[in-house]
Amino acid sequence: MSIAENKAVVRAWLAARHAHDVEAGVALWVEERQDWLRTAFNGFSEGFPDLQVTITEMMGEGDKVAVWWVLQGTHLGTFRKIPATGKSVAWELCDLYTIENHQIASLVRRTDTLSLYQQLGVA
Amino acid sequence: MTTAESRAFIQRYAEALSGKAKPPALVNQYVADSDEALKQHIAEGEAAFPRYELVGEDLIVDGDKVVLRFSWRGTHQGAFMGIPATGRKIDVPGIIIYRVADNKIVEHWMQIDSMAMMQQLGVQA
Repeated sequence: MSIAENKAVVRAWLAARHAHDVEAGVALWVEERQDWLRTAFNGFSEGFPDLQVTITEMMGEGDKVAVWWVLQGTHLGTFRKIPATGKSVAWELCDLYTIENHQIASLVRRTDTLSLYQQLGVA
Repeated sequence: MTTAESRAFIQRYAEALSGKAKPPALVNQYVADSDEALKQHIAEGEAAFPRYELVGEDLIVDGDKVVLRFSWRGTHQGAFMGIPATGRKIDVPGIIIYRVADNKIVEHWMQIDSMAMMQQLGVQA
C-alpha cells in the first residue's frame, strides 16, 4: 500500500469519528481490534456527544501514519469515570497508526491528559 | 533535505543530546533560533533532569517533518514546574514532530503524558 492510501485510511477513520458513525469507524480496523475499538469509540461519544475532529498534521512513512488532531467538544456525559462537568474542551492528541491491508492494525496515542483534566476542572 | 538526510539528522541530534550534558552551544548546533521554545524546553529539562535520555522508539519521516516516538528518562535533581527535586526517576512516553530545514530543527510540536510524569514524581494531580 502507498503512503497516500494509508493516510486515506486514517482520514476515513477520523471522519467516521467526526460523524459519530461507530460502524463506519470500526470497519476500518482489523477484526481483532474491533470490539475494543467499539467500546472506546462509544466511551468518547458518551463523554463528548458533540465532539468534533480537526486534523492539524498528518505524516506517513512505510506502514505508519502519524496524525496530530484536536478534539473539541462539551463534557456532557461520564468520561473515564468523571461525571459530566459541562465544560468545553479543545484536546490535542497525537496518534501513531500502523496500517495493514487498508485497515488499522494498531494505535499508539500520546496526549497531555493533565491538560484535559485541567480543562475539565478536575485536576 | 531529502528524507534520508532528515532521518539521519534527527538520529544525530538524539544521539548528541541523549544521556549527555546539553549546553546551549551544543543545542544551538541542532536547533534554529526560530524554535526558541524547544531550546527553553531542553534547558528546563536539563536543569531538572541532568543528562536526561531521549530514547527513540519510532521514527517517521514525511517531507520536512520528522515524527519521533520516544521515552523521556531521567532523575529529578532540580526544580521542575515548581516541584522541588524529589530524586525520583521518570520514564515518560511522548511524541515530538520536528520540522527540519538546512540541518536544523526550525519548529516542533510535542505531546508528553504529563499526568504520568506527575504521578512518577509523586505529585497528586
